[in-house]
Amino acid sequence: MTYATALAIFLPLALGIAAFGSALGLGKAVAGAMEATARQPEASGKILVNMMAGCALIEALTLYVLIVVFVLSGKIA
Amino acid sequence: MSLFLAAAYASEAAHEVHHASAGAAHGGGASHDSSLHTLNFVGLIAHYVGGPTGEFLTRYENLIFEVIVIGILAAVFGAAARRAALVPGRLQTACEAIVEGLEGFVTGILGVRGRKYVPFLGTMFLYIWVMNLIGLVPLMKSNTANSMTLPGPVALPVPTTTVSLALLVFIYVQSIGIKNQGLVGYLDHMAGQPRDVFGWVMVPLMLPIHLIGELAKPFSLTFRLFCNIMGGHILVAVFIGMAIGAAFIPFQAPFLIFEIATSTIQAFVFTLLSTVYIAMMLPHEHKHEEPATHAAGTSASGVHTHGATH
Repeated sequence: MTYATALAIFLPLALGIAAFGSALGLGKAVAGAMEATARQPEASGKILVNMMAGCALIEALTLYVLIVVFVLSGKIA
Repeated sequence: MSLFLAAAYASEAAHEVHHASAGAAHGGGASHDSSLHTLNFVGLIAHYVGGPTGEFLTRYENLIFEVIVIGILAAVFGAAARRAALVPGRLQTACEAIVEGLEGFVTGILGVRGRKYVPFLGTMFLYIWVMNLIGLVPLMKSNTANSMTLPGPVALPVPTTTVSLALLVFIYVQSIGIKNQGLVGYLDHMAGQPRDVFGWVMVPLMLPIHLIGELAKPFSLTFRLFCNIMGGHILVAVFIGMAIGAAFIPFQAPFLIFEIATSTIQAFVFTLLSTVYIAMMLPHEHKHEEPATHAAGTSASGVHTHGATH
């Protein structure tokens, strides 16, 4: 197996695993925000803001993997 | 009108597809200029004029766009502040609402003593926000998505504008720490505040952990902002590429709207994290003297507990 084949197999797999992990984390974050909004609907603005911040931080981890994919995919061709 | 739209669409499509194809096919060799060469109006002028003016424009393309963003911000806020009346007009009201929202947001995290950090953080938010949004206009590019490939054997695309913003925040936060706590207090904070024998024993462990944590902050700031904006642009570019093959149906429209949301959210998260880093650098007061009862982040003025009136 050449390194190009290995990269071609495992780069999309790595991105899929990262997306899976971040989807789980985001699901928990949004679920917590929904529950908090249901308990106190008048705080929904502040809860939304904090949820957005948390989601952006979780999303960043998947984007780090995306950057690695872009860098390494230049080495395939 | 329709001809203008078609021309704008074609130019935006060419800009985005060039962007995406250059991005996908690059990364292997070392190049001396920015790796993802986007088609914007400065590039077009440089291409058609050529010569030393063209080279100047190509070299300082990022600076030209930064000056454009700063010019937009200065023009809007300067026009609002020029004839500052007690009963404000529409532009002044809008700008005051933005500034008030930013001030409420920052003081909600930092307290009343955070008012002197509001200019830096607020300007950072506005600068990143306008810079992200301006990349969605056809024939313009957003500098936060700009990266250059390192010359040499390890050809990594390194973001340029975002790393400068994050370094600025890093230097500012560390200087706030040193100025507020003194150099000894700063090192004490870095070493985890050893007070007893157990604390002093843990210093060789806590000090590197804190140092690496402090260094990881600008690193994560740059890559979060860069990846989000660049990823959003590549997403739009992929859909424009699909649309070109399929009779110009604008598939990329929902993703452009999502990109507007991402631009705002990423600017907000950058500012939020910078504010939190400043809050962690200041001496911790474990009593909350000011409950944040105003809606942070929204431009509507909420209930202000600190009785400052404008």
